[in-house]
Amino acid sequence: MKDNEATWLTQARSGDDEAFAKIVTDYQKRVFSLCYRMLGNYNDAEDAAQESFLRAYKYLSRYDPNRSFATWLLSIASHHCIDRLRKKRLPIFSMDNEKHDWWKPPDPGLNPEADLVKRQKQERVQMMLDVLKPKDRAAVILHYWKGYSYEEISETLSLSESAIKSRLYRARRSLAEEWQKQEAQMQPLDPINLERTPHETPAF
Amino acid sequence: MKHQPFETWLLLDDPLEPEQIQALDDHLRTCQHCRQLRDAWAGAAALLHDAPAPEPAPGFTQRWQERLKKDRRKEIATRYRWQSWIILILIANVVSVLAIVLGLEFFATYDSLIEVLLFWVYRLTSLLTLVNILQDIITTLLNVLPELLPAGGWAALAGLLGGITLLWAAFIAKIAQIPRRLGT
Repeated sequence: MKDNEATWLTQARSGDDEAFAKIVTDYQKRVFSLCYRMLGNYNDAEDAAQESFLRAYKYLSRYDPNRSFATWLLSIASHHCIDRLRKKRLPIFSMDNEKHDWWKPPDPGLNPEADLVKRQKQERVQMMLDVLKPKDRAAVILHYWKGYSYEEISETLSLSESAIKSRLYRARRSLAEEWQKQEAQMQPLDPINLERTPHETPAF
Repeated sequence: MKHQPFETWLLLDDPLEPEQIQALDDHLRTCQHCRQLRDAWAGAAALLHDAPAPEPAPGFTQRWQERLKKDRRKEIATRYRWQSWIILILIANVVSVLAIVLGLEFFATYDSLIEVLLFWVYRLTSLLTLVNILQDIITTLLNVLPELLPAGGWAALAGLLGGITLLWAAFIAKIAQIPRRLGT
């Protein structure tokens, strides 16, 4: 696979669109999932992932073949998403929570119930990520979903390793607090207070 | 109750020393706040770990290829527009410089407004005389030419001129269509 990648990259550098299309096919899931986690909705993620690949192809001559291509590519995608979030300048949690995946077709491999559970899980994770600042969010995604080390994250986000450590520490605290909030909202109400009183609507 | 350094230890990735683990365990036994933090982070981490990876809709690469083509067309059109503007600005500059130079030379030649007016009256008179002479020449030619060529020769000449005009019109139309073909 690595040999194939090196060949495709060499061909793409000399302007072979088809060779770079193979790279796109190979990396689409990784780039898309990063963009989705960063931006929180399907349409923006699709647009950002497409744009990241276009930029990577445009500036391919700047890529150093001695470094990991995945790191370089995800660095482009991360910075692009961070810029988009900064440009939005609106609370990310606003009304978007309702809109996640509105046009995404259901997963044909899952029954409707399992698909619903999957979507709910996605939404809950997204709501947790939405409380983080763009760079902290990128660090969390790269660390927990891409399995990147501190060194790789610092290379990807152009930050020092100590900055990454402190950002991750801050992010963990925020995630834990958000998780607690969500759990509190999901707790069933106190059964004593739910008991029907005589003057209320009769039971069915 | 002090929660440091226990909160930091709970939220850091770095492995702890055996004595630190012991101290943390002792603290957790008595501190509900830190126990809640530990459980909350464990729950959040588990959720992150279990979250399914979102995937793009099928046909991502095809959509990317279409977008690449569209972007290139846009880039070429933008470059074409910029080049047109640069050429137009250059021409406008050259014309302005020439106009200024000629204007300065013109006003340097004549001292007063009367002289300028006399110059233009003289020019106008010369122009009218020239038009008169041309009219005489054309009238003479129109009387003489029909006898020089037979009717077929005139038809061939008219056809040749018509063909050249058509070619010229087609060329102009082709040039005018370039930006449209580039997608603008």
